[in-house]
Amino acid sequence: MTRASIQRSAAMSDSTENVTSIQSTFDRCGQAFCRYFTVRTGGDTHLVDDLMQRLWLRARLKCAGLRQDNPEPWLWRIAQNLLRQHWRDSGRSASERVKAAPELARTLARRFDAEDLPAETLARKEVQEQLLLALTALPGEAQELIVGFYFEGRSHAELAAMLGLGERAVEGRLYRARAALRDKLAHLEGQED
Amino acid sequence: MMSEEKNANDTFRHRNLERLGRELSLPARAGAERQARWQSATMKVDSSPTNRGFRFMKQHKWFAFLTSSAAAAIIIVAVWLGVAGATPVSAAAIFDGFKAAVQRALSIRLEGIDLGTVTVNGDLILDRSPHGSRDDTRYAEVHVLLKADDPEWNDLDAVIVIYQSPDNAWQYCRGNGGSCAEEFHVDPTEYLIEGEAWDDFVNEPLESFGGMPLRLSFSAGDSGVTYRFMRHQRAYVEQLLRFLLDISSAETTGELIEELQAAAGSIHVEQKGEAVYVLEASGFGRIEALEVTDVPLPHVDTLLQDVIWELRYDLTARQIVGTSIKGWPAALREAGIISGSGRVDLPTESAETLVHHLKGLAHKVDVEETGENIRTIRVVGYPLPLDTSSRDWRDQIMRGLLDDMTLSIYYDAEARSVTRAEFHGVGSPEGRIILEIGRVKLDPARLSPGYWSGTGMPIDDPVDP
Repeated sequence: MTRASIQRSAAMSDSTENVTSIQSTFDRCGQAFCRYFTVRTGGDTHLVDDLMQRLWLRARLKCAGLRQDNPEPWLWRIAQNLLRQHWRDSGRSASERVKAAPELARTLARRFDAEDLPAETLARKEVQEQLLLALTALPGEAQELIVGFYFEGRSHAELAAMLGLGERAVEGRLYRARAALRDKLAHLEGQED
Repeated sequence: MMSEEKNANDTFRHRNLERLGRELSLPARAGAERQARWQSATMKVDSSPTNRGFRFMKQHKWFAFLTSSAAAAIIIVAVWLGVAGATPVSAAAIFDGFKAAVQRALSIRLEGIDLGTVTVNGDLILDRSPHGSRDDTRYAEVHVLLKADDPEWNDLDAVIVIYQSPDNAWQYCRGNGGSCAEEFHVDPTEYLIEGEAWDDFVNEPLESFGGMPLRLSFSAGDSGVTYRFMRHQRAYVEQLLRFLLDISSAETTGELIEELQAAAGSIHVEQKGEAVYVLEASGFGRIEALEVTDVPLPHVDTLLQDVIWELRYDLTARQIVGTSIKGWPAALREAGIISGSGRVDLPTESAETLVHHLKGLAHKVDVEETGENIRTIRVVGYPLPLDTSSRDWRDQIMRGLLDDMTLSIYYDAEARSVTRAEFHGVGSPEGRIILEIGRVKLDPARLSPGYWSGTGMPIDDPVDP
């Protein structure tokens, strides 16, 4: 085998690994990305599917040069850029978007782990928007845990089976996911432009 | 104590999330069929190692690579043809001379690389310092001219300028754009500067040719203009630059030599003057590294069946005042196929006539009152024409771009050095990439940021050669 062909084999193997890694991350986090787009585009299914396809295509096109063990943060950056590009191309005004309200979000974050929020507070549209923005910006696993446990009523055991974890691990990660949600809420500023 | 506090905080979080779960509905999970659709657009994935060199360039060393890589490309072509020289000066000798020459100051000019609706021009200049590459001076000025489709408007010249010297480093970008009558002055520059796509392009000028606008349209009064920089044109320029960068990479050079060997036709060395010899290479065929990724389109009709065409009709003016397309498939967009809805001729005498016409051709038509005298008409399944100009350009123009390209390297036998090298026929018969050895005196005015505009952006992370 010549030097050149050895180099070529190494490069192709490298690229194949990246494709596999992107594929599994996309499969694992697809619902989270879908929620991220859905909340920010007002639930337009066509548009969300379009953005999901573009996310997939862009990741596949660019993954050959990827040098990260976990490509999830990279995929999130692509998702953010796609959304920005969509707003830019569509020419929609800022007033039409679901936008972060940093002051309100910070207040909510402070109250979130210091008191029982009244039902009427949680029923307010602007409060729900901030919580949804924060929740759907969480990494895939944290998002799946919170959505599965609190919104879909799944048990620890069901989540453990779904995510390939032990039940103790699910409890620990749920704890961290709740803290991450609180932090995300406290720092919504500048993330949703 | 701290742990107790943390636990208390988490208890509140848990209880608040329980309430929230009862109060708030989340978007439904996507079903398996929908998930499969996200990944239905398959493609040939770039498995070449080109990205390695490209990534390296992204670490702000792109200028040095661009200049050295063009030189290296010429060296490589010379090397593998070297022994064939029947003239007193062999290709191997030209290679040795060139290898020494590129260690000195040099310049590369991109001249009239015409891709149809776009022309690329530029100067890349490297003045080497005897004190080491850290003290080199580099200057790059690239113009991407987007041609106006209306003679009343000017072409749009998108410019990027980068300057780096031991004392100073800055970069500028701007678009010098067209207006029509002063009364209706429209300045595309403002659009470019404000757009994030332009920012992407400036931050990563080679990778983000995709950030350059696909189509910019402006209108003023009765006049209008459209500038086009098609997807495949951008991809081609991007690939060309990646190709040059990869040739300079130790990891990828060997592979590209093999590819060039396979791609090249004839090569010979000729005496052109008393002491001037020229190595000429031509007949370049398909070079895999310059292939632009393609997206197969197995089921265009199926892809289009859910596309929504939205028209806004003004009852008073009796005309369509706006249109938009929703759900255009990403696979089509990536393939350079966009909607040609602007070409559809519709009857607009009345809303009823319009809707009747649409219902005759579409699967579904909904009408909604969205304002005083405004009706929004949503149309699904209308046989929209396709704008395939980018894909056509790829098939009809891009694939032939290399056919007429030739390479000439000029060698001075007395001085035993290479003085100049040229790629001819790049993009069009007039398109050239010219590499000249020796110091080029830059116009001092151009080295002043004020020459370009008053809105320069200093480089936050100066190049570390």
